[in-house]
Amino acid sequence: MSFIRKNISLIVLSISLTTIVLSFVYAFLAKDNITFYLKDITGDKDALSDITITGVLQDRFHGQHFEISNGEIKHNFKYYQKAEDAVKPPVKYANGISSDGLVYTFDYDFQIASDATTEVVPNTSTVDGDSYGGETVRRRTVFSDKVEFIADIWVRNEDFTINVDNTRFSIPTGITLISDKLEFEFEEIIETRPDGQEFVTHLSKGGRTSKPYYDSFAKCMTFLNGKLYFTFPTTKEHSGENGIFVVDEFEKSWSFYEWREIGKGRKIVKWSLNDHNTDVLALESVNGKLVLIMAIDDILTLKVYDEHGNFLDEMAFKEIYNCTDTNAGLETYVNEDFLNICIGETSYYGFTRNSALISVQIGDKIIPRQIIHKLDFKDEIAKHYNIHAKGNKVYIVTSLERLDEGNEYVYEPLRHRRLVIMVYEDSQLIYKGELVTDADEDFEMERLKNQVKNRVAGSGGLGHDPFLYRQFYGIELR
Amino acid sequence: MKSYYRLVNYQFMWILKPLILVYVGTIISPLFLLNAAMQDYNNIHSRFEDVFASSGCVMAFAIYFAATCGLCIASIYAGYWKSKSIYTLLALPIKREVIYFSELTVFFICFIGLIASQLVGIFLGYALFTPTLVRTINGETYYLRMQNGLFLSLIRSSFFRILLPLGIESFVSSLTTLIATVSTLYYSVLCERSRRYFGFIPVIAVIIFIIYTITQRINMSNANTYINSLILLLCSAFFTWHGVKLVKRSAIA
Repeated sequence: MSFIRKNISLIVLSISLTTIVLSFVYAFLAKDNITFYLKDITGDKDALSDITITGVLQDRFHGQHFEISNGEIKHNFKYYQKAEDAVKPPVKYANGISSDGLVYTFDYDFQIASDATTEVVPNTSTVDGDSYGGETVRRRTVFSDKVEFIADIWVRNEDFTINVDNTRFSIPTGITLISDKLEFEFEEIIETRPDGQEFVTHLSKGGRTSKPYYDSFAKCMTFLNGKLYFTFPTTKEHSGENGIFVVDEFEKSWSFYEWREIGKGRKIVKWSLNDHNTDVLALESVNGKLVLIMAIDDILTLKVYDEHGNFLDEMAFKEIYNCTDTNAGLETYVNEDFLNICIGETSYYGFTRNSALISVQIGDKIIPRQIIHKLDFKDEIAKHYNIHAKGNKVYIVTSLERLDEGNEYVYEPLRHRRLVIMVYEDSQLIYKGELVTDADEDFEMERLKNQVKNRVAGSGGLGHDPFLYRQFYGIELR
Repeated sequence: MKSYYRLVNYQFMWILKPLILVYVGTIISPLFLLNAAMQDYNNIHSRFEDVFASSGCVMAFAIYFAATCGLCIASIYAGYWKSKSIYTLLALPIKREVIYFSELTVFFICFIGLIASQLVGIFLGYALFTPTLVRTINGETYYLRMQNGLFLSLIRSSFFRILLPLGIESFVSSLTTLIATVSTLYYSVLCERSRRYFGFIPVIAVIIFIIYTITQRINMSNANTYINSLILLLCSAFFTWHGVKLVKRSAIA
């Protein structure tokens, strides 16, 4: 007893430190205690012998960085101490793309076409006058049966706190939309200056908005040799003349109402829309060339141009038909001189079903490498992490989510998902494997919790924070 | 060194009994609270770290932390009560620095013991009351734990991450926070005893900075916490230097 009294502080300290050290030892030993292996579903891992796949399975607090090389998988635990330690998912801008820290957002409006029939609505005039002889503004409503589209591109820094000097490019496109009635509504603003000069502006207020689908504009912008090129995602209902535009210079402009030419740019490629058989889907830059992806008579067609707009080659893929409404389900992946185009028949919430895949090599000529009518998954929706072509193989890393009966159209962020790697050689599936982890347990816990809550408390809702669940990010192939 | 060791043990013995009560409370409180929380059907499929926080275990730790602070302070004030042992202590033929550092060491041991007790409480809590998944295999229902669930809880809970930091920067931050807490606590008592009330200004500043640092850790701020750790260490060094000076001058008598 006397020994204990004489050494009590050392005894307490020793027990405490041992407990703390053992806790650290436990954590150190447990950090790699995770299910992480590649399960073959079809074929053999040898199909992955000439590719290295890297990525991370992470939540907000930690990541398992992995590398699959020669079919062997290695993973490495990383403890995140700061938010910046995590691998950031790429920001997907609505109708925008980013380059060199700047975000380019594609917007549009329309103006009354020069040869349109118009009608002024009587008794809609208002006058905001200046009794001291200054500027007078008159407003009235005008209807038109024909409008011309104006492409409008805005630039801002990715960091909202940093200003950009030249923020805007605007150009009338020559693309028109015709109606058999006066359905396009405008507010006509006539400004009369004290010297008698008049300025007329038309603000579009309503009528049929153009067909372009949500986020289709981002797919129609691309950078080549530091310059922004774009086309307009027109459909068969448009008339006039579409084309590929290049932006030479942006201009400082803050007004939302200056529908005129802003900045410097031009149309370098032109084609008529008057046959009403064309749908413009996307524009990509590959290997120093511009690739226009369109559907002509509902058949997927690629056209290649050089940076000056000189036509180089064209190829139609008759096997990939009925792709009129595929703009929203179209995804492109570029590696070196390969362009991989994935087209889903149905699309919702960024997922595609029953995808077809085309892999082509782009040079002065288009060389088709792979044409896969239907990727090998069923009753599942796919969200591709990456698609990469190498030699005569194409590698697809995708997240597949099981569609249970009745929830096909339900947005369900907690749905069971798995990472699947597929390899096609000469358009034939030679390997399909699943990277098996226990990450779904995070979602499963949440699914069970929601079930319980619905049953007990009758409360719905999800409160979904994606970074609380382990998910794959930053998948790269080389 | 011998006198230092003896003094540490002597001072530690004074608070041992109530301290053991605090440690036992720190270990078993989470068990009672988790048990109560797991009776709620809403919690049986929640993550362990969420149940731990929502059951009041973190609040209980805060109470035991305050109790430990109170015990440490009481151990000094006891020298001024009844027997007035502070005068005996100051009259001992030992260096005054030894008196200062022995008390500081006792404070450290108290808090290290508290952290260890909380870790035992967490491990026991997980072993006995962890939420489960539901699996049906061959028609039979199994209630399984998450694979590596305890480790995942340790790295996902802000509270556990401060107690058991697994990164170097976080570890340094937790350690310097502990050092600053202990040295600030002791210094504040010395300031009061020596009637140097201006000393409370840096004390309050450091307490605010400790809270700020912990908030940064909870929010996983991108700021460099080595700077915070350095500031806390410098403040601790100042408090130690000035504390030793106060004890040497018998200002606390």
